Amino acid sequence: VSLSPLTWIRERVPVGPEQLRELTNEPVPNHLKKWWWCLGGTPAYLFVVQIVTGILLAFYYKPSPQTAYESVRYITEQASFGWFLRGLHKWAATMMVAAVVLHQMRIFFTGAYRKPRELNWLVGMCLLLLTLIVGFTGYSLVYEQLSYWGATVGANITDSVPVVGVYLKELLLGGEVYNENTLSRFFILHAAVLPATMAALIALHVTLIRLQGVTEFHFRDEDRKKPAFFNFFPDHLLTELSIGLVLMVLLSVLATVLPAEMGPKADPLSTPEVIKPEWFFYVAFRWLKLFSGTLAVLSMGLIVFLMYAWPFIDARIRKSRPESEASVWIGIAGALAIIALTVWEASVAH
Amino acid sequence: MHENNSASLTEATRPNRKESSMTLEFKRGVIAFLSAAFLVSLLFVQWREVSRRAEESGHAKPHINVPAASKACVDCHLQSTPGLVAHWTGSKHAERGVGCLECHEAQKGEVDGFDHYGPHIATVVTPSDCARCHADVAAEFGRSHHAKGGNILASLDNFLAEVVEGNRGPIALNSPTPGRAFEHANGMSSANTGCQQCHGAKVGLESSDGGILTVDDFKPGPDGKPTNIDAVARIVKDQNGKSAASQRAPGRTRASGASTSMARSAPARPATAATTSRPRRARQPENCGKCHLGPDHPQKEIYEESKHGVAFRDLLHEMNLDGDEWVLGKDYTAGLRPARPAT
Repeated sequence: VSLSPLTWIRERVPVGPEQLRELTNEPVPNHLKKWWWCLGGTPAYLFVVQIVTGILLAFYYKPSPQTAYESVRYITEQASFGWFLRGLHKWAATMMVAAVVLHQMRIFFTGAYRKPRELNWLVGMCLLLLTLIVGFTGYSLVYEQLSYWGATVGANITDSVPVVGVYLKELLLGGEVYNENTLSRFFILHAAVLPATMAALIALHVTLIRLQGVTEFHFRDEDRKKPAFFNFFPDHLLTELSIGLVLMVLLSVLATVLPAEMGPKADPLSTPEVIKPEWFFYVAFRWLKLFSGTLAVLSMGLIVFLMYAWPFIDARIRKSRPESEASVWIGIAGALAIIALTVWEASVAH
Repeated sequence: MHENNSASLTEATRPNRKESSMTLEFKRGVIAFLSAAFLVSLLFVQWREVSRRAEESGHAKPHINVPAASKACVDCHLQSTPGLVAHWTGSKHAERGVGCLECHEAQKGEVDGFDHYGPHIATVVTPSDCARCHADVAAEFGRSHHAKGGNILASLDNFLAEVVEGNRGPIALNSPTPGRAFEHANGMSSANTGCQQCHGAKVGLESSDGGILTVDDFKPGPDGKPTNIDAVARIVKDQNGKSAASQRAPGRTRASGASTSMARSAPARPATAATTSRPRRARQPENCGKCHLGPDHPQKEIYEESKHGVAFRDLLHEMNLDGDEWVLGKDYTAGLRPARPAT
């Protein structure tokens, strides 16, 4: 008896159109018809761009102090479309950090982290930190002067964490100082450990969203007689695809007009006059300059802890004062402080 | 997956909770404002970042900050000698915030120092001045053959120019030109226009007794400063305290022309023009040809026609002329292998 390929597959994978429709037909709240409420999927889309371009770059990258810089130069100057892939990877990283920050701001100010979504906030916070760490390790791989010294400064900052700092620094560098094994360690973290962890967390993040549904917003000008939800497939999916296409165009333009450059090669014996980390660490860098040493590191740790614990702190506040909107005002102050410190660090040479 | 949509209501949106004073519309405005502020700041930060990266990779002219101590010099020289300022702004020194006074500032008592609209400066910058920042390089240069290039003028190597060709004995011309009668031949033209153009000369300063004071008269100590105070006291200075470089002594160049060579006898040897310094400029073979050419020492001409010279010109575009390092086989080639081995 001859079977069609489709029947053959369906006998072995018992999922039909009905099940697929059920899986994709998530009712989506009406506010997601506006594209600016749909930016939650943007970091995930950029994550995929990073995985694809990262695999292609890894074909040529050689993680050792003797070969790293030359291999990046080969990618930039000689490999076919290497400059374009490197530009895409660089700009997608920048846009991914920006997209995560924008997404988190939206979640925070609309209180979408509140019960029952506290766990998903924690997962999102982990994804934010992992995005920053994966950016840090990626920046260090180029083995330019600034990336080398940025990694060294980053390791020294880790060292100033009381008690565990010295062990964390050794874990990061694979020794007491930047050495032969550091780059391969950064590479494995950047290209395997961190992306795999992020992929697992993104899956958990999306699963929790599916289980709990997207937070509903009801604006005053909304027509209450109309349905409050619309279909994920195809309506919302088309919005997400459109955002993805716009992102791809934007990324291509940035990678072409402002391609990734090559700075001077790392020289462990010559400290550059000006050391700057990647832009998304400007806020922490400026904070370290304002409150040097252990105080700065501990206060940053406290801020990160408060961000993690905010759903529970907010719940306590609202238990005693149900109408409290303290989180909004604290959020405004925090966001403005982050913007101000970042712009400050970008404006000055030292 | 969630079948009951009401299950998705959060604490924030639950209808039966007490009405908050802050509306969702207000929060939407907050998000819009902060997102816009964040994106604008991101544009600014990226603009700064891209500019910085372009400067680092040599694709953009670096931003020059005039050091405060040199601002008056730059402002004035922009009017009087703009070319000088233009040279400086194109140098690595300008990029790194090294201004005029870092090199030209002189200590009180230095033979060539003078007050110049406030600061006490010297026109001629010697390796001793360079050593204030580049101690290792100056020490290495001091030990090199180049540093002793000026000594050739007092050696037998100079015999041809100054003695054999340089006849300074009595002459008897058959038909002396009226008004230009002389009894002795100078004979130093070969030395002046030949050897001394590269090997340099001792800078001569006018002395109050009508003679010429050179480095030999000042008897510099190990720090390059004069030990013969009597000679220093005899330097003729103008109303600004500026010493006058001799225009009369044969075989002695003026201070203004003294920066034509890197090979000067210490300590009056001026460095190459640091106001124009850039690694890619210093790495051109023509710099060697400044001295190493001509009938007595035609190394440059030999090099030009050699396999090395031909290969250098051919592969120049592949060389890392702007790099901090300059390692043979890696950043540049002698023509035997590519400058950048394929990875």
